Amino acid sequence: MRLKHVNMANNKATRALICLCVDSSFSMAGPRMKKVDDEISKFLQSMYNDRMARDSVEIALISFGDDIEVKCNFDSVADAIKASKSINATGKKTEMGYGVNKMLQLLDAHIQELDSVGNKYYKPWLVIISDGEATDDEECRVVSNDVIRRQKNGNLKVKCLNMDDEADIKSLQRFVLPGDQVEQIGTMASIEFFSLLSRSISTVSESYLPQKEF
Amino acid sequence: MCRGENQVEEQKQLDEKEIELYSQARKMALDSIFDEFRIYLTDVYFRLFSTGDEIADFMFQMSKVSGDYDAIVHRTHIVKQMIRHNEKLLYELSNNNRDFVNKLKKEIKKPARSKYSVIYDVDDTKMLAAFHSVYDGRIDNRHKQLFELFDFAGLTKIGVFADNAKDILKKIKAKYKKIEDVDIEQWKEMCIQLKSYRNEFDGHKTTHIYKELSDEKTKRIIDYFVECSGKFVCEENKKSFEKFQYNASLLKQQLDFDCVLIEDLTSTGYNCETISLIMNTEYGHLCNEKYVLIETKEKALQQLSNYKKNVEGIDLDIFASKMCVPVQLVIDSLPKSIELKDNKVFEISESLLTTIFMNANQSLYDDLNHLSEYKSGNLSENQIFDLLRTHELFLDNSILLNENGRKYINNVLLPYINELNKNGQPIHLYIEATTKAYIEKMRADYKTSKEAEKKEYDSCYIWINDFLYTTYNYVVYKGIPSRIYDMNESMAHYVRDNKNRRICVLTWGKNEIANMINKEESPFCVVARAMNSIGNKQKYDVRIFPKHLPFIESIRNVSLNILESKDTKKYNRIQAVDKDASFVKQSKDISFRKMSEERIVLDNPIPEICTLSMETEEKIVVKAWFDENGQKKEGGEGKLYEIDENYVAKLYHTEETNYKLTTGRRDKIEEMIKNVPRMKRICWPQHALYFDNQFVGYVMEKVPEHCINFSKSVLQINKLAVQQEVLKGWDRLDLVKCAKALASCIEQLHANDILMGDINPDNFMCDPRNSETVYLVDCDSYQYSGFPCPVGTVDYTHPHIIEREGNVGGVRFDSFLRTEEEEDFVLAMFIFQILFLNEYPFTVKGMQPSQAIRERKFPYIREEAKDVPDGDNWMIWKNLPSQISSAFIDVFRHWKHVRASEWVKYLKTYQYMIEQKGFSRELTPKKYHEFNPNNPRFVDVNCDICGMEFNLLKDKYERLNQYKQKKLCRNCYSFVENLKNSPIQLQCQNCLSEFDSNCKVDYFNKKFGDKVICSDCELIVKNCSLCGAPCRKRRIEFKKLADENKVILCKKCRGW
Repeated sequence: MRLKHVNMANNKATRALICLCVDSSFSMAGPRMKKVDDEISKFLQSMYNDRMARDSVEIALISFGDDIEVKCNFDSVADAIKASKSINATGKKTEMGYGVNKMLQLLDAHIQELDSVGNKYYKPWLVIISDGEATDDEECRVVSNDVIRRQKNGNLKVKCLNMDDEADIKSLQRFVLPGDQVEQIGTMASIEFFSLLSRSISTVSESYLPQKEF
Repeated sequence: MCRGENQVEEQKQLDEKEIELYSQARKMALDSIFDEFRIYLTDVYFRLFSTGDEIADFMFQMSKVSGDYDAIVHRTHIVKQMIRHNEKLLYELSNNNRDFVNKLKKEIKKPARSKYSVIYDVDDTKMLAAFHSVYDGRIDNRHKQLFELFDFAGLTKIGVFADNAKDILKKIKAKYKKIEDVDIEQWKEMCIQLKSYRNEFDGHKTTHIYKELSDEKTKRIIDYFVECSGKFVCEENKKSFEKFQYNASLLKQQLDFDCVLIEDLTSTGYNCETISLIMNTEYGHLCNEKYVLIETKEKALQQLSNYKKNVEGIDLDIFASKMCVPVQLVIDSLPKSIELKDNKVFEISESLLTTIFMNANQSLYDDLNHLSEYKSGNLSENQIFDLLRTHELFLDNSILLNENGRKYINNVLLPYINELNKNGQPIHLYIEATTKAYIEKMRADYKTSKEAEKKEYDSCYIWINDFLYTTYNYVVYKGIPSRIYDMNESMAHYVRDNKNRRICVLTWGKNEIANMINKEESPFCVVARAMNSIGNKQKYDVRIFPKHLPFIESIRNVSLNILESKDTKKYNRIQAVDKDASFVKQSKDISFRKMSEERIVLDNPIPEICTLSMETEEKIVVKAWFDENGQKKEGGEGKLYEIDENYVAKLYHTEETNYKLTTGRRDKIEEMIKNVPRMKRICWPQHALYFDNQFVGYVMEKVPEHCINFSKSVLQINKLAVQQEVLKGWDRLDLVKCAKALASCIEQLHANDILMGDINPDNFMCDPRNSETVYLVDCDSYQYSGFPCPVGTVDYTHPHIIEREGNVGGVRFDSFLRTEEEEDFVLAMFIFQILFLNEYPFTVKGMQPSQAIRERKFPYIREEAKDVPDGDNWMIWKNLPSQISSAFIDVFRHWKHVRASEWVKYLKTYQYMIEQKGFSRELTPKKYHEFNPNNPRFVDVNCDICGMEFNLLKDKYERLNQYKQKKLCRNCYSFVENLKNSPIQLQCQNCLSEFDSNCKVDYFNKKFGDKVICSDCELIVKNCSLCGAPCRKRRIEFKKLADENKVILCKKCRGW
């Protein structure tokens, strides 16, 4: 098997980084978790089937409940498909703030790695899936400010998904920019991601280039 | 090579090509004999194993044999078939050993050298039974399969098998009486001898040693072949043996022949043309334009002088009727010196008579009839009849290799020919011999990864050989197959060698041949182009290329010089790119023409299926084009509409938000269709399209469906998925060819003063089956005749343009004209990207590309190599030929202008280096190129971290060994260097104290077990202050000594 750093340097594809944070509190158990599983594997599978996306996409997946579990740390789609099956919704707490914070740390570290070998990447996506209020409200507030700041700076794109109409979306609402909505799960496949990827691969000729930093 | 008295001197004068011409002639003769041998042996083979049971039996025998005898049984082939048909069976055979089956499948996927090493775990009888079940029943099919399984060399190898030689010999003895007294040892010896001779003679797939074979040896081998073959003679194959024997003797004879310059024979009074004519037709020796193969020069002279006496009289009546002229005309044209008797001439041959007759400036050709009225457009039915009647119709490679082309011949031409034949005019179609040979060759040795194309050649060959030639006798082969010219070139040669004949070369669609045939040189030749009618696939259009018009009625209309003068150009290679006279080259300093943005407002919206008219007022039906997902095919400027399999229409967008239908575009297209550059594979606008008399779009050629954008193929080749699914089997050579084809397209455009303008990976399409094929699409945006290219992309815009135009609030691409120099710069970037697997030349570690461009930071030079992005880039760079790398440095570092034509040249060199000089073919080379393998500069080592094999300079290797340092590949080295920058707290294994260290130390400790030592405990060497001997102590101990104001003493001095 090749070492990760060798792989990373040799894969010249511009990376599409996708960070998935999944709630693993007890309330998610049963049909809700199944729905999440289905949705994520559908999403990952569709990426796996896309020849152009397969090598570009790197997935990080963490679950937050009592503990923060890193299921995969910017691994390939194939690895992520395996890892996504192993989320157990048994937590009493919903430590969303810590979870997202951990994800941001992983993301920063990975971006640094990519930079160090001279690889390019698209604007990362952060997807948070939860069905209730966070139990670490204070942490959540701090982290959400960070997330909002990153979005405003154009360094991150965020999608927050709740489970159904009954779910509480107050905590999730904090992470999205004012004007954006928390959406219901089921729309994940509709993420702009594919159009983004295919756009970036096929260069669109423009008749006008705005003044750039050249 | 040549013998004879003065030949040594003459030999020196032959330049390389001439030697090749000579050896080509000889090789041809050898080949033809060898074919006979092959046929003969096949015959022997099949007589031996003529029934199904015997085949099975034989295969059973063979399957017992161990070793790599693929000439006998291609077992992979059998297994492949089995897997395809019945995977279950395979599981059964291997007693459900899943691992084995997987291993087997894997083995089959990559054609391993030891094809049979795995399979012997399978029970042979079961395997045979499985084989039977797959090829159930049909004997024919089995025979056919068997034919694929055996190589003719198989027979010569049969006797080599120790275990089976007896059985085989028994079988053979029963069949062939002559072999009865051969005992087993003799039989084995004979087989081994035959095998080795066969390999020497025909070459083996691993070696080609034909050229080194001396004439003596060749003769000996041929004798042996004849002798051995003689033993297999029985009643049924007697004839084929005789034929073989005769050919062999002919070949032996020809090996002794000399290569005589035709010019040397002119002392006989004939001119060169006539001599070659006489020697070729009357004596049947192989003649190769400049040389004639004959026993000796004296013999040739003698034959020429005897010539007149030997020929029988030619009946002028017959001759005249052949020429379709009155007899009196022929008689009048003869020189007075020639005697006539009963309307017969005795002194000259028919071919010579023809020449004399031609030179006598007589009208001698068939009446062109309807053909003479032809000016342009499609040939009418009558005109095609006349064309067939008056011309020798040569089918060229483009029509033969195209399925529609073959359909056209089948459905249209052959009925015409039948009709004409009924009227008593024997009409044939002609195929030039090189074309035939190429198709046959390509069919035989096409890359297996390009299965579809091989199939195409297969079906083409079967159609020509079985249908046209053997069964119906429609086709006559002409000319001499050549190994040095390609199909078009040798067709053009044939035409020029036969300039007196009326020849029509029929192509399918555009073909280079039209440019290669010169009207002035071959006045009677025309090139016709058949194609599907635009808009109707069932109908066909045939047009004559205008540059070969008008048809010449009689020889009177031609200047005599052409026919008489000896053509000196004949031996020169024809230039592949011949700028067509009909293309008007654009003036360099044509002024900028603004493209008006005034909208053309359509009176009625365009429906999905509609009839549009072209500028010629012809009408065509177009239909919206959907891809397999039901999405409309469209680009940024317009939608695509289907016309037929060769053409598509692009209709400009008229949506309110994206209105592209402007008068500016109309003017540009109308200008472009007037002047179509004579280039292959370019989707240039061919016709403008009008709907209700309003301009809506244009017609262009269609790119074959299997072709893919560069952005989704060539530039993505670093992705495993693309390597496995799209560009199967591509390597660096394919990338180089692809880049070369692309650069040559740009070169040709520039030669016509057209700029592509918007160079980007989506405007090129590649053909995954043939890396040398590149299509240009989106041609309506090209900068042409003063019209700018109105679009562009950030990545592929010259920085100067952005600097120049960007100052005024951004770049408007439709407001200026680009220059050739700017385009060549972008081309260089693009070539770089192709060769470096989509790496941008200005990607620098730790720097934004825009900044790198601004600072002209191109990191690929020795001093800045550390800034080259990780991955394989540096190794790719180090494996480039110096021409290419210095050209890149010129462009990206010194911003010099390197033209497209220069890139073509450099890439050709690169291709040559890979093919001939052993430069790496890997997509990502792992080792530095070793220029002198006899005295290597590099040592092969394995990386201590990732285990990859790489090489490094000898002295560096020694240095690393001396200091016991790790040998790391470039990637791992830079990974480790990165680790150095991450601080970590570690515990010293010596003093157990925590200290600040870095991740590298930790990594080396975990990976290799290196000791973690803090800086205090580190051993350092200082000199003894008394005797100066080196003294090793921990740093902290030295420090302690210094603190206590003590001097450093070595053990010895301390004792003293």
